[in-house]
Amino acid sequence: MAKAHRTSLLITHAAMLLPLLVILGFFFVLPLGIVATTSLKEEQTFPSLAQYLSIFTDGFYLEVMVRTLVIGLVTTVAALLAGYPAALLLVFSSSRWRRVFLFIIISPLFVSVIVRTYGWIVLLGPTGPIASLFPPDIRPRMLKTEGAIVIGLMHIYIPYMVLSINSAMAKIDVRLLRAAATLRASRWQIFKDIILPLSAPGVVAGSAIVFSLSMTAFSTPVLLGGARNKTMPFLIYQENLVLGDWQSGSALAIVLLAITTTVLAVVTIASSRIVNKVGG
Amino acid sequence: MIEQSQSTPSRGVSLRLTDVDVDYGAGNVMSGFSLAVHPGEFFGLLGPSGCGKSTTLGVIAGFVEPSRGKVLLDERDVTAASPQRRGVGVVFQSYALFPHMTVTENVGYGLRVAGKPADYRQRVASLLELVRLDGKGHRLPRELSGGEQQRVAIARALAVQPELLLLDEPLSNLDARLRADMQAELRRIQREANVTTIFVTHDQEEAFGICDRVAVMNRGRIEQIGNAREIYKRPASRFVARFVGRTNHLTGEGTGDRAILVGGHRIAVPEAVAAGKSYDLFVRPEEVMLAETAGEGNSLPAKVVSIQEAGPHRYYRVETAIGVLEACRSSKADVDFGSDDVYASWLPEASTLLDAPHG
Repeated sequence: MAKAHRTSLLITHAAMLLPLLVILGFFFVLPLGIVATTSLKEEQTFPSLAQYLSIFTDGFYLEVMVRTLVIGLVTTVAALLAGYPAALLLVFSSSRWRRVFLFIIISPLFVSVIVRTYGWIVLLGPTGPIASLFPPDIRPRMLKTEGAIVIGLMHIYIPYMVLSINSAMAKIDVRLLRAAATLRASRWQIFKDIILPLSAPGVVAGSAIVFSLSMTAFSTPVLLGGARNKTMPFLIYQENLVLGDWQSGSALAIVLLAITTTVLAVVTIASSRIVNKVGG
Repeated sequence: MIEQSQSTPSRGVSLRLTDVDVDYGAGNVMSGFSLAVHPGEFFGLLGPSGCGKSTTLGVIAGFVEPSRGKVLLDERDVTAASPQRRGVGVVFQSYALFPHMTVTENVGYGLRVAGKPADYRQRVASLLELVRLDGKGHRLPRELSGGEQQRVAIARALAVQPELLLLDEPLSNLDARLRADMQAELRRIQREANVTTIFVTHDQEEAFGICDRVAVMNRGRIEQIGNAREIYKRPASRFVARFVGRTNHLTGEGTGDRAILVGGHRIAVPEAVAAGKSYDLFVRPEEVMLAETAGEGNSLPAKVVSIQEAGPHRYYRVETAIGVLEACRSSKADVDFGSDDVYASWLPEASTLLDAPHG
């Protein structure tokens, strides 16, 4: 009887997963398989690593790859540095202020990415409010730079960072902080020894989200970086839809996926010791 | 298990709270609260949940700032001092062990933040020995049982040599057997470390079992302070009489003599009372005698209604003219009253008379 029960439970669970599995299968696994297969074609030969060979020997492709990786890492670190204090403020404010701060932090999500990016174009443009702070002859060029891309991406992804750090911090029992205080730990020591390690799972999760989103962002890098500061998603779009070179585009897409997953895997493994200890 | 430990010299400090008010916005949690704990004493704060015990503890440790009144450690005013500057160790109900640190790291934390002393290893090792956890230093808190976690929490609090140790319901997460062992253990550790200790609990057996003196709390106030015997034998208020142990509660009107009228029946009481005034009379079940003939003192015809077995004791509920009374007899007694007609009697001196509260 117990066995019959277990079997019926298994069927129920499978049925509950089915819609998601169908969607993932048709719209993620299948297309990814097609992309991977396409990337291994060269004229009529299959399989062939020719596409990958040409990507890794071409200075232009390498430059785009490095730029994408650097923008992804810088955006993640910047979002972490800006988001961590905000998450700390959020968790230590009274419940009424917490609601206000939370609204401010997630409010960027209410506006479309395109609208926000156009906002940055106005702000950073050659006649925008920031540029007009400088005398005309030494106005810095801000638009169409890698810095502009980082600023735009950070603005979009910072709520994810704050929310995931905050959710880890909210789980910290206030009595741990009190216990540390009675052991004569200073406020800084309490932060460094208790809060920081216990919020590490949130930092890792938030960084992983922001990094993958930054690496694969399309419209913001295109609009704020321009054609001179191409990132991999822009390049992939160009290869596929402008040049019609699906094999090369597919190979670039697989390389982007590989870079992103490698970085995430390295970070996950490197941080697993502390995350496991915390039990997060 | 009543200990007289006042005579032993100690390193612990005295604690005094004078006229403390705590206001969380929605009415006072503590009002006009005063308390004096002697150096080296094992002092209990006993009361039902929500009576303000934990708030009192927060005021002493420095987590809660009183809106009025003073906290004095060895007559030094620490009312405005941060928890870091009080020298008060706390063992929390949930133990609050640092989950990402090993047992050794937890116990040694207070030593490390003060700048790791040269004898760090030995000191942590001797603390682990004190709480009988030697050999488990490399474990993480979640790999320990409840009792072991509690002992880590105690060792961690003792590591910084506090002058005062606060224990907030430290035994409530343990099962009954372990709790009894830990009570003796706590008492041993406290005596060895020789530190003034305040033990917060809602469990009277626990409080009376280990504490030198106990303060019974209710609604942010102290109802009575004394040792287990005083509180049990001479409860100072209606709340204490009913909260501590089992009791028969009678209410009656004074006759102007050494008796009150309970439902028209004259009941002798230990002292002279004013005529027409209301009184509460409390009689412990073990003071109520059951016999086939009328006994000394107050003696009422009774009928046994029910019997409750409680291991070494047996509680009889008997119906009398003044209501149902509870009588406790040793299980060794070979007489079984069944539902026979009996007499329930008690001596007036064995009862406690209190003025009934107004209204």
